[in-house]
Amino acid sequence: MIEGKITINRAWRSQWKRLIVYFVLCAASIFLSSYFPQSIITGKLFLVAGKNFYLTLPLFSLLPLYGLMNLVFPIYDANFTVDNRGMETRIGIISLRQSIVRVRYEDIRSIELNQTLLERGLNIGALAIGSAATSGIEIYFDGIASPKELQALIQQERDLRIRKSSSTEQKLQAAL
Amino acid sequence: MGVLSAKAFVAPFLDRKNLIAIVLVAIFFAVYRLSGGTIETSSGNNSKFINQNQKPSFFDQFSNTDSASPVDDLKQLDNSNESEIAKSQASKKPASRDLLKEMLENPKSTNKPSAPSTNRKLDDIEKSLGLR
Repeated sequence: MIEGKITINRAWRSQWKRLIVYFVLCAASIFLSSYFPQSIITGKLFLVAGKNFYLTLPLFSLLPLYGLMNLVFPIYDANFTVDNRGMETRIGIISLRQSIVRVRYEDIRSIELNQTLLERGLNIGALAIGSAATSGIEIYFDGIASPKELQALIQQERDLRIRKSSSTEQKLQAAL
Repeated sequence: MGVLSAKAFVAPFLDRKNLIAIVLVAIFFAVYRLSGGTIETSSGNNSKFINQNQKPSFFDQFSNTDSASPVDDLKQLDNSNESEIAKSQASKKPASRDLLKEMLENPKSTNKPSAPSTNRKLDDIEKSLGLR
């Protein structure tokens, strides 16, 4: 039995493409700002306690800022929770639209693990969980670290619940 | 337990997810600074603010080189050095002038002053001999 609550986020290494883009944009920002000094603008920000705050903004530094947002957003936007009752995904935590899907262990029909060759090397992958309520996939969570272990854990919990429910059914039938 | 506890300050650095995010933001700030970005303060007066990080543009560089003529250079120098400047200008002129080239280009202009002088000498001799 799972005690307490396990919260899983997307792994940083699952965002390796965005990480490369971020570092490329960082280098581009430094190079372009020195090559085009006209792109560095200066302006007054605000006045606090008689002191003026001025900002010198290199416009090309907005490129790595976009890269950083693009990199950090998927990490903090979704999480996957496993507890002793079932599992839950929250997608859109820092978005305008949020979707929360909860599935009990008893309702799990299938647990699929999707991994590419590189993802196998990095030990990351996506779990697709189908429930008895729908024919399709109920929960899809990508970029999870050690997905095989998580799949095994969920499978174990599911088997335990099914065994328990079948034993109680047998007891009821015997009592009747 | 107090409102401000050490745990609260240390907590972001213990979680790997947040720690990597902090490192990435620190990298971004370093990039921002290397790109020439600053946040500066000045007390009250706007004129005190001088942006030291802003590099001169290419246009400014070219305009500066254009305006930096020898005359401007002379104006910028101290008056006390005028004689030295004159000497240096004088010493520079023969070196800078290509006399051979000038003679080849304008043979008339170079010969003109010499021709009248010889004529005058001949006139003087003729006058002294009483031929004229």
